[in-house]
Amino acid sequence: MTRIGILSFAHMHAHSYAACLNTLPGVDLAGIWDADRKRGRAAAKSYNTSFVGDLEKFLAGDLDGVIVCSENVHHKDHVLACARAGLWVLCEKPLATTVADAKAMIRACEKAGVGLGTAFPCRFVTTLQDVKTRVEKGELGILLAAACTNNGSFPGGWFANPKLSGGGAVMDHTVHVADALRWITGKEFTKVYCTAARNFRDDIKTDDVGSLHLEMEDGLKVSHVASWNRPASFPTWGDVTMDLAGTKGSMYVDAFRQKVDVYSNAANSAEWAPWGDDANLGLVADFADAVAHRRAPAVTGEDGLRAVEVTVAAAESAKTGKMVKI
Amino acid sequence: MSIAVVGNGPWGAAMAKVGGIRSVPTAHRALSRAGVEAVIVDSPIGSRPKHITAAVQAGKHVMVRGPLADTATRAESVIEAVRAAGVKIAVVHDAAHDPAYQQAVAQLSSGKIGSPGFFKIHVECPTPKEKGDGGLLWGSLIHELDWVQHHLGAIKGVFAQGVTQGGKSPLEYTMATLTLKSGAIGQVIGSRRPGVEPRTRFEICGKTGMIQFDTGEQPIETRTPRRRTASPLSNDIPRQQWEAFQVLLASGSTGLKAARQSLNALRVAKAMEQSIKTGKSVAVGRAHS
Repeated sequence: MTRIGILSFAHMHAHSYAACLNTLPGVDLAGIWDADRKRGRAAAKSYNTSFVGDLEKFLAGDLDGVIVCSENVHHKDHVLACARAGLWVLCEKPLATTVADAKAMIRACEKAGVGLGTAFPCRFVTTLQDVKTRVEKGELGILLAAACTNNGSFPGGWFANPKLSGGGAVMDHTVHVADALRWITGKEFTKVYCTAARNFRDDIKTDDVGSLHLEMEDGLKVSHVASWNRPASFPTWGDVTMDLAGTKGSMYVDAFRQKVDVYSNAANSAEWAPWGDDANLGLVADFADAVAHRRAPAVTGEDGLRAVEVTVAAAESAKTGKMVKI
Repeated sequence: MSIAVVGNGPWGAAMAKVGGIRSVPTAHRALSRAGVEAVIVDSPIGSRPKHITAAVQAGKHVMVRGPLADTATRAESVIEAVRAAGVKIAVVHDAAHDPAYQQAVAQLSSGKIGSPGFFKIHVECPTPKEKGDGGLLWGSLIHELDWVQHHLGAIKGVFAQGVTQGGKSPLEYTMATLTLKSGAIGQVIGSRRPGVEPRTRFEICGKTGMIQFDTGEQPIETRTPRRRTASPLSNDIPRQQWEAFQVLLASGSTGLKAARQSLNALRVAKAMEQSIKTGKSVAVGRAHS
């Protein structure tokens, strides 16, 4: 039995990961720690596990690995603590809010001999896996341009508090696409330009929409929208889309458009009910397997670092109004 | 009123069909035809100013698919020629007569989504068989730029990237961020490739809601032999453009005010060109025109 704990439910994805851990055979959700004891206890009750109020005791317990879902700025301290305890770690995205923190996390895990993964479930979205295969087979020829989006609704809470999140929609919704494009194309980002604004909520201190222009190796040009611009009435959480154009052809991808439309008088709104493969299950299953076999997770700390480099450069560009080299 | 069409592009042909008139391949023949009082100019962007100027100096009213020229300076000269000749001019931009865009304007006006904070327009179109429309930016995206500055607000700055690929299957791809004076930001993305089905998607996001549109979702979808969609209308875009010109001809307006407003989109396009070239953001109006 592989025993995995969840460190904090600050990020709502922790709920999905907990449900996945409870689904996987041979895996045990072995405990929860949360700085917010009320939230942690409620989660432990929901997912039929124990709550440990002391972080040191939690990490010293009978665990093989930990999924870190605390606020972004705490990722570094929590990952370092896991590494000191000799535990494999899967860290929620973004890996860190600064490049220096991300590098320190990678170094600490290497030194401790533990695996470090970054939670980029897009790599486990079957649609995007198919896109990667098609691109690698050369169906589009040489890729020349990509126009991408990762829109979402406002997540609320600490996400819009820069002291805890490190940034707004640009930080929250750039990393998935940055990582997916690196993975699909095998190329690294070289330059970033970003225009960011707070145009949807007056009660927050971060940006809530950003428009990015990026370049990758070999001159591949990329645009991206990172936003919390979806209204509460939108039928789903948001999107990940890519329009890929190459020398032989183009492809438009709406990664999560495997759904049935639901119109309910009870909900007084329309909803998307997804039927595609559960990407979070793929992510968590890979991590559990990595822990069990003492191997690196499929999406590594280095992958997380590369995405952090993009968001940090985007933030600098938004401030200076200039293209920033990575 | 007797109207002649100059040029042999698809837009001029559509106007000729709606108006029941024959198109004339050369400006000289159109302008020398007896009784012609107005001219529809559908010539390549490079010769458009020359043809319009010749027409207005011959006392003809003009309808032209925007832009007037490939630089603001040349377009201003054309407008001055129209003013001096005392004739009328209609500068047509497709999006203004597109019923989906018109519905978006109605929704914006209703206040349902609040003030726009972000927009994205993505246009895919086939590379035209006829050369000379100026390419993706000047032949296609200019219409969206005109619509944006009319209905979402004045554009103060742009950052743009562009790809141009020659060869057997040439691709044009342009991506731009537009910053509006209101503080809203948006993206205009366009691509051209031979043989693709035209598709336009747009979304406008406000504080209290959003609008989405996709021409991929149409009432008729055929698969013989390729997928083609259709959305027939009794009052389609060419007919609306023709009727608007008839209204202008019958009115007391000269069309000069609208023609001057169309220069804004031209300046934005010029700023996009400059940004693509320099890799820097460009303030609209400061680009070399």
